Amino acid sequence: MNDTPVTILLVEDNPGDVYLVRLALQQSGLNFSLVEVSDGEEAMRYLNALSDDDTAPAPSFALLDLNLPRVDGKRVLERLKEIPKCSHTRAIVLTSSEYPADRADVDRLGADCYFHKPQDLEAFLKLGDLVVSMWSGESGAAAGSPS
Amino acid sequence: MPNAPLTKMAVVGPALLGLALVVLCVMGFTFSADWQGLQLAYSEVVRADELRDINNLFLSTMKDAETGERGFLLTGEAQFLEPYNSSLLAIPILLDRFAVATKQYPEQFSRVQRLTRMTKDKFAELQQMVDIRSTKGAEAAIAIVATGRGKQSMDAIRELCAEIASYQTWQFLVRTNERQVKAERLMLVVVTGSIMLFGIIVVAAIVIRSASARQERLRAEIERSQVMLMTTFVSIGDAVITTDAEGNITFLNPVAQALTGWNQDDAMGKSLVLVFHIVNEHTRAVVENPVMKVLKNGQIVGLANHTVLMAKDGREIPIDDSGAPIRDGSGQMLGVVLVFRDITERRNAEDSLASSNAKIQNVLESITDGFLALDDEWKFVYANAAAEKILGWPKEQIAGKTIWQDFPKLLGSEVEANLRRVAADRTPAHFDSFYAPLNAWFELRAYPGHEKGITVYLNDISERKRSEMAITLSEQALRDSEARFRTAVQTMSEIVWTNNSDGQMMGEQSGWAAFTGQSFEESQGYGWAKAVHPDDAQPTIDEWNRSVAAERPFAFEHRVRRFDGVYRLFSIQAVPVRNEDGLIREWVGVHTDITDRRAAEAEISNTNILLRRSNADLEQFAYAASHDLQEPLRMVSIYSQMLKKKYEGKIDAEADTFIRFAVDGARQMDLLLRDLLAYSQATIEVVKGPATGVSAAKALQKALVNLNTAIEECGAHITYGDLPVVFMAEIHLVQLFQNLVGNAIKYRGEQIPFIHVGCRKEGTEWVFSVQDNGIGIEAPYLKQVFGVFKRLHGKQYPGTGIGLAICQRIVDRHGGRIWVQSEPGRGCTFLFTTAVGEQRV
Repeated sequence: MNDTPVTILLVEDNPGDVYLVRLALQQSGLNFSLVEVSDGEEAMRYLNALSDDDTAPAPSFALLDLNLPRVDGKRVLERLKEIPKCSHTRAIVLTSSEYPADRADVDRLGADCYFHKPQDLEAFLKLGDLVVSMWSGESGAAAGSPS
Repeated sequence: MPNAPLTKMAVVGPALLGLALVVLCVMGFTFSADWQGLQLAYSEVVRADELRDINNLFLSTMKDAETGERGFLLTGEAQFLEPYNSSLLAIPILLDRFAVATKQYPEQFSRVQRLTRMTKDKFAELQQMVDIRSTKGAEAAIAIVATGRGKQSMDAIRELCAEIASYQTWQFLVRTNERQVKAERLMLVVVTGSIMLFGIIVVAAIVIRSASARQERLRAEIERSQVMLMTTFVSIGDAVITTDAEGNITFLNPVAQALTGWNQDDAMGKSLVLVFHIVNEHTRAVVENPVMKVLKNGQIVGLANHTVLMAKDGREIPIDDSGAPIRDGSGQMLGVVLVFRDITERRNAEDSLASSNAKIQNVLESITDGFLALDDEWKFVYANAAAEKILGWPKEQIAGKTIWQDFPKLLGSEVEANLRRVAADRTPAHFDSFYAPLNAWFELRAYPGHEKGITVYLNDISERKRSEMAITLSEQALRDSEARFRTAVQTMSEIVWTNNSDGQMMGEQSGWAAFTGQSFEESQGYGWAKAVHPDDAQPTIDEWNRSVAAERPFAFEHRVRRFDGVYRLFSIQAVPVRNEDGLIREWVGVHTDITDRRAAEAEISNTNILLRRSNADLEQFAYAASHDLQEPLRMVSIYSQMLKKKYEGKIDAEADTFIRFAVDGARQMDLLLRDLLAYSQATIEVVKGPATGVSAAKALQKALVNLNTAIEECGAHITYGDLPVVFMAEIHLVQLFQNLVGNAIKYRGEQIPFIHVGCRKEGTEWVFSVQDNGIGIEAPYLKQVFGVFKRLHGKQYPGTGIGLAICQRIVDRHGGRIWVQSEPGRGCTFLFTTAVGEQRV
């Protein structure tokens, strides 16, 4: 691990899930700094500011919930992918959706990984390992979807 | 009976006290009376002594006087007169003392008086003797002495003195005796009285002792009940406030503190009106405080509806409360206890009930069927708008009346019989009925309703009924003989006509003429075509000519103008009638008016489309609901697992149990939702696209992969024969096999499960079978197992009870059947069918 923390943007409206994501990342042993954003609109503001400010560093990961208030998670993903300096930001879509269409949409929009929010605590905490393995340079696609 | 000791004490106490007083009085009285007697007796003794002394002194003095007189008489010397003279002075004093001493005894007193008189006489006699001696000399005096008169009087005096003395002695004896008696009696009274008093004191001591023990117990009891009361107040879910008789607060329990926002210390002594501030929910007017009402009227009061408590921090809480006076034993009001509770949740429940009622009513109002609800007295409880329209009867008019009052012609009809049977047997009935006053046919579906009432759905089916009847009639008529045919022609609403062999209308056509209003001339030849709708006329003539040329039956539909200018749609059937030579003699045709039937058919198909759409909507809803429910459930599930992970074994065994229940419950709920999702998807997928041919063997293999863990766990042997290609969505076939094989594994017996999947062709169907050697199913449950949520076993066989329902639904939607054969203990075989080749879904 590097000394500088890995910047992770978390767009999630459910405080229960925010807690779980944080816990998963903490348990993975990753040195990280988490930017929490709780709705789509706020996420868009954050991304716009990031795009306008040349000095601001792009996050290494973006964990996006799909079902967000105000602005849809897919739109946030789309915006993220538009920003040139975010081209290395790995987007992990967190969702409980079982619509196959959702999966197809986010694949098309360039998501790096699709994490289906599980009903099981241990399975959820594997999210941390997933981020670590992607960060260590292993293939994000290989980690696949734990669902 | 906590009052018994008190009552006993109240009776026994005064009784003992009274008894002691009586004893003391008796003693006192007896004592004082006897004491007086004793005193009297004693003074008597003293007096007797005194009298004896006086008596002795008196007698000796008298003797001195007589001796002195005798000496003077003999000697004449004056010195002898000295004792006489001193006696003369002493005697009156002694007599006085006598008189004083005997004053109380009249008998003695009279003796003393007699003695006084006798003494006076004696002294007169003595003085006379002295005088005689002095004047006449000794002889004269001695001569008188010799007469013995002096001795005589002196003896009398002595005798009287002795009498006085002896009487006094007797009196003394009597008194002494009396004193003895009195003293003994006094002794008796004192001893008896003392014993009685001692007894009373002992009894009193026992009573007081037991009473004080009881009092102690009672006090302990009161203390205990006080503690219990406080604990109750503190721990009950209702808020409790008590006040004194002025309405100032003396106590608030924690719930009351939470609701009012006041804590006990701040609220103590404050006026209740300040702390318990209530207003009417709608008018915002301050509501009269129940405590004040109680204080005013001294009665228990409840609160009016829609009361809202304004808490200290500005919260508004709808409450329900009551106040009651607190009284002491004598009925004096000590204060008021006020009990109230937060009814927000109940209010919400009521509101949501009301809104769901409103929804139901909306649905009822929007359906096209008439809907009536009748109570157990046959009164109208509810009628929807459609019913109003169908019956032509404004709602307001039927409300509150019985169905028999509003529709008297129903009495004695089959409708009445049917409705009464529904009400009595609580079974639904479905029937058609003609109601003459409205000249209409109705289709009625009656169901047992709420509380002995019934509900009725009704449809006006007059049009359908009439056309059905007409068709029946016309078909019948066509089969009839010529004569009857002719008669029928006149009377039927259908039009029967004849054309000649060339296809031209010839001769009288009474039906056609009556319907179209064409005259005889107008209809002849091809004239009839003028009554056919202009758009339909030429196609009709062309087709008719083709039929006539080919000598084949004619079938067509066209619109015919009625005499009043209205077009009606007809179906026309015509056949050539041949003579004995086989040549066409004439054409006979029937025009059947199908306008209404067509409209009815259109409506039915329209309704079917609506029904299908609403079914699809419902399925979408079930899908969305079970999907959306999974999201919050995920929170419950994960966080109860978190609780388990962090706190299991750290709180106590009970907490571990609770956590386990929560985790298991969430898991079960998750399974249920997943299965419900699958159940609703069972049809959605079908709607989405036509199934293409799929290999059943492949589908089975996929299912077995999904079941891998379960299969390995129990070491199940699964075999299958030749399986065909079928036309079903693969996802459904996989699901079917997965559920059926999964069931076979789950309900295994003691032995290792052997499961065989087979298939055979029967007619136009494939019959698949999944056979196992498990526990089997008892005969009564063979059908039941396919119902949603139907489970035959408890926790030992986990599951949601939806699996077989999903299978049933999938098979149903593909036009097949599913059933099970079983003998308990010998395993069971599930069978399902699907069409050979592609079927229309």
